[in-house]
Amino acid sequence: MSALRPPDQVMRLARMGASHPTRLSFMRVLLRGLKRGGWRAERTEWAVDETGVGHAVYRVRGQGQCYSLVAFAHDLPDHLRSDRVIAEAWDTTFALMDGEPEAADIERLAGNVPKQEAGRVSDRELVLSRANRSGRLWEHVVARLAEGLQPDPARIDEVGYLMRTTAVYGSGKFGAADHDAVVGRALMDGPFRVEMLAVWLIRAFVADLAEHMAAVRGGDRAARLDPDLRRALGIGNATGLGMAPFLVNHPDLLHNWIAARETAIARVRALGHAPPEAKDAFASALAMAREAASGWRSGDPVQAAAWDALCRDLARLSDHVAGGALAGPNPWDALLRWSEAALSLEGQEICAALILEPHGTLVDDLAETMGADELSGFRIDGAMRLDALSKLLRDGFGWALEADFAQADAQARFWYVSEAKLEPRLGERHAEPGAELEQPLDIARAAVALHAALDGHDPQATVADFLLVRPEHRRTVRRVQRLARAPYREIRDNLLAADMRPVDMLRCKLAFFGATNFDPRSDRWLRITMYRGAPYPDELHERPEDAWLHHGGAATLRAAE
Amino acid sequence: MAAPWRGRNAPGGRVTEVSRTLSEIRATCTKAARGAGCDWGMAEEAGLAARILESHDLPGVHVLARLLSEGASCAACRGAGSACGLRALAALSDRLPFLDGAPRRGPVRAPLLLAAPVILLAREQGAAYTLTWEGAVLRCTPGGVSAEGAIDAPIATCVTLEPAPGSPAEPRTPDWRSRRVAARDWDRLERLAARTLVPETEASRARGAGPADAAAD
Repeated sequence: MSALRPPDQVMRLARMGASHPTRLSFMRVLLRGLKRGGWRAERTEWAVDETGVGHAVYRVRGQGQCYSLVAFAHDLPDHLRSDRVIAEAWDTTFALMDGEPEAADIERLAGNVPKQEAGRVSDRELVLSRANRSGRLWEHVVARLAEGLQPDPARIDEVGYLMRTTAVYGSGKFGAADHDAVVGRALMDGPFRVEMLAVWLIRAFVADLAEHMAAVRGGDRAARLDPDLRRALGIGNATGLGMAPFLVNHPDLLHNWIAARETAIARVRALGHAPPEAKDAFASALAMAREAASGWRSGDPVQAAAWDALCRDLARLSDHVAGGALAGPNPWDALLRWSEAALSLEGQEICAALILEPHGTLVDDLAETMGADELSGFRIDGAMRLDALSKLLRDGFGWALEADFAQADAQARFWYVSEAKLEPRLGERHAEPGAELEQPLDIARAAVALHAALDGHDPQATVADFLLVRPEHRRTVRRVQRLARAPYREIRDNLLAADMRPVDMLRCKLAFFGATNFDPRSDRWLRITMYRGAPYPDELHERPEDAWLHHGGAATLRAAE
Repeated sequence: MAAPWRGRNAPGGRVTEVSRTLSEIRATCTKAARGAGCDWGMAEEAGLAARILESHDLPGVHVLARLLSEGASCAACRGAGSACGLRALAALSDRLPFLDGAPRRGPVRAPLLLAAPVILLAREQGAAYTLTWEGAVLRCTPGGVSAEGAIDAPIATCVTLEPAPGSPAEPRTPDWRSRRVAARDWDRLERLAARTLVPETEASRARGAGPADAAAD
């Protein structure tokens, strides 16, 4: 196997901010698993009235398990609609529960789920979520269907979704089952599997709800969504700073995700040649990506420029491949080396993602390495000598040691949590109060401080002795020690810097989810689409497997036929 | 599964309880320790210790809430020597698996906290250890923990740790479910955790975390 791309290369924020989904992304892994595992989904209850208020239940069963999405639809006045965490009402709210709900469960959930953070769910609920309408698209789709017409594909592509989730909570939040609840469960024991399952079912409910409202409005005249158009609709999400600390707070998960992806890339790079099927599969994936990328838009100037560069990159990549780039020995390795010299970061990362597409049998097993036992290895190794610690620090945080924290720009920001609905924020240190309460995302600065503190201590002294006299370095020592076994744990950039873009952190995590259509609206929040092009539960076993990494959009479907 | 432990130091009469998940316990205890004045590194230890203890039906939340509410900040504790259970936990954890000189002699507040690293060690090593102080015995094995006596004691004069081959008759195996904790303890922890939050100003609300209201969409 080839060497993995090093952490100093892949853990830079700019490259993380150019991440693209791959076949190891969680939505892809889930749907492959649902299909191969023979899972079945059914809508078992529909109790939504003609005003669009009520509930529904979607059940999935497979591999000895059963889950139900309990969906609530509400009558939300327009002026109350908000994507902020501080919102208190939504168009739709959801809980994914273990098993099937009885009437008493529906009642209990009806009293709590619509309140979201202000309510509580139980150990039987695995996911809590909510979604709001896209004002742009919802009315258009419902109105057209009510008249017996299909929505305009261009309008669908402009937005990409009928509703967007504004939070998807799992792992013990607000009373929901702890992540350990799914340990040992086939397919569902993996990072964010149940969350991705919930979103997949939410998408089905949203499409059903739109058709329902159209039928209420149009009666017998109303149409149902054309299956191709329905598939072109994903579920949107508005992701803000709330998600950013995750990568810092769950470094073992981050390492395992990155390591799995990099291992997959290395396995493909080690292949000596590309047989015709692989070349064809790659060409097909590349064509789909080009089609999709041509529709990616962003109002954020940095991202808009990045998309332009990516479109040019994809054209160059296509030409390069058409010119026989995959004909020689070690073609995938040669292709990646070429991309590193010839393409922007976006181009390099999409190329690395695309070379995995033809090689499912070689890399798909790595999906099972992406979870983490975050408790093992938590304990500090007190017996380590300080000289060994210093070496780890220099190896793993050399990039931080080069920053000059005396410069105002290097500490321009601070991360904090606001009193209002516990919302994470990014403050300007020199312009706002609150820096004394900053959250521990200052890893680079802390590493520099530790480095300075180690100077002057006996290099043969133990970490245990050092921490007795310098306990303030405990957090940093723990992180430095773990880096030896898990080099992709740390984001190798200063998260306090004036020019740091939190969207880069968000995008990295969202790419691992499988999101597409990254649309930053500022440097600290972005819109994305999930499951665009993916099969719905009622067609999972009829559609070709795994053929939806990049979806060109509704407007391309007619052209393709 | 054995019934959850109830300490002999629990107040008389009904104790109002709330249900909290292990994630919530860990997160709130971490923030509460920070709010009480611990460095983040020590606060992380507190949060994880509470989670580990509660997952074994040991009263981690109660013991930590009481310790953090006793008023002495981390700085004051440091000045007075390592009588604080968190400092003792850290010192013990850093010396494991070597038991020589661990834990240090002298009184320790919230001694139950010391069980957390021992439980982790037992799991890592596939071995069993006994932690004792006056009136309390905890047996930590890879399969679970058995506990007897005044394990929620506010202070212990002398804590000892020894390897203990063999398995206890009825260890409490850990599980992931929500735990009942005293509402009073939870309130204390939340009040301490709230000290880590920055009050809202008009400017900070406007600058915000991200998604604007969806009027344009």
